[in-house]
Amino acid sequence: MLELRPDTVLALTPQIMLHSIPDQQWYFAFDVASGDQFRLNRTSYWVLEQISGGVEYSTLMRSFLNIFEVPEEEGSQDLKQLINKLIRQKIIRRQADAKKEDTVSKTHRRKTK
Amino acid sequence: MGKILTIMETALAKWNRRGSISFTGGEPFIRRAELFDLLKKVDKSAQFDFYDILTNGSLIDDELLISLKKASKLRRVQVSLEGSTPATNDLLRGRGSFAETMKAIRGLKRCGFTVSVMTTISRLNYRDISNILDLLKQEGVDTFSVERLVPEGKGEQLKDQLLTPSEVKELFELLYKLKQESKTPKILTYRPLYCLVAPNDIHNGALCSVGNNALTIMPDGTVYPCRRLPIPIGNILEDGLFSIWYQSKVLWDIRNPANLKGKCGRCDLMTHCRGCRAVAYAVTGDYLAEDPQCWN
Repeated sequence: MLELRPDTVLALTPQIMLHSIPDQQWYFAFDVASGDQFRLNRTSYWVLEQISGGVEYSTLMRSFLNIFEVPEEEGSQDLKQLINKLIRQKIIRRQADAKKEDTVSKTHRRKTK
Repeated sequence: MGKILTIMETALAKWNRRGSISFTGGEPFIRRAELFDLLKKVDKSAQFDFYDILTNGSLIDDELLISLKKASKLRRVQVSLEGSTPATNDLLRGRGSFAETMKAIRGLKRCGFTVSVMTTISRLNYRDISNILDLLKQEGVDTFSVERLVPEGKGEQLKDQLLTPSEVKELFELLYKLKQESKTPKILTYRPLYCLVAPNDIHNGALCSVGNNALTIMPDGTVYPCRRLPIPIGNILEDGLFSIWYQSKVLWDIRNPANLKGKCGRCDLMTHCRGCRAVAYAVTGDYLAEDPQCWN
């Protein structure tokens, strides 16, 4: 599992967009660059909505436990697993990873000029 | 156009789907060489099952028919006909077009193609439908369908000729009855509003494909939700297909049935029919408005 510290800032990957039609139980994340689409459940969608504005892991955890009224140990484990899965699927990223990726991408651009 | 095709292939591969194309215009045979180049590419592509060509028939000659025989994924050629006589047809399609269309139908049938005829219905021709069907039966036409007039583009001047809901009801009931009585030509009724005639017949009626499984792409890359709904929602060459499909507000508005207004928004048959968004837009300026020709 990736390290998630309380102050780790999570954000949606730039090319990801969220869309839902709650009446139809439709919750999706779309990658508009690669075309990948991810069908989500309501809980995952809620988490992604919180993350979409950029959020610290500890803030997200607090909101998650309050909203879904789950015991702390169970809830924090579930959220950690979900966050890791979303990072692996490249739907979200840690701000630190984003900075690294941006640096790599800039270096790559310089080299290929 | 080749680049557009490649973008479509990439998207279909990503979605693990196979697609089909309707080549239409204007008149697709005006750019004959380019069209046949494109057909060759689609014939070779693993991502497409078949294509149809929608034509007015005026440019179909023997040379073209020979070339068309090589189109291995051609499912059918759809020819537009607006009346059973030159008087009714040529009023809408132009002088001499009835003779050209009939010549095209006969040429296509002689060469063994599957031929479909489509009639755009309005007050000017809807009472002629039985006669059109008699004519098509004589000619051995395979399938027949009607499209409701959408008063936009050239059709805008025909706004007064739009059928009333009761006239559409009368026509669709007649077509459904004729479909049961005769197998040739096969009458295609997979369009919005047909389900009102026989709600329990699963071969009758269909949801509009807008936002669901189809797009219209112009030669310059401009994308419309439907060829009858001329609202540009992006450019496939500049924006890519995924971006348009996933981000277009128009498509999302239409995908969500809760957005539909008026009688469409409270219809019991919403799972089978959501009306024609193009007719709603052309008549009211609002693509989410109720279908103005619905009689329910």
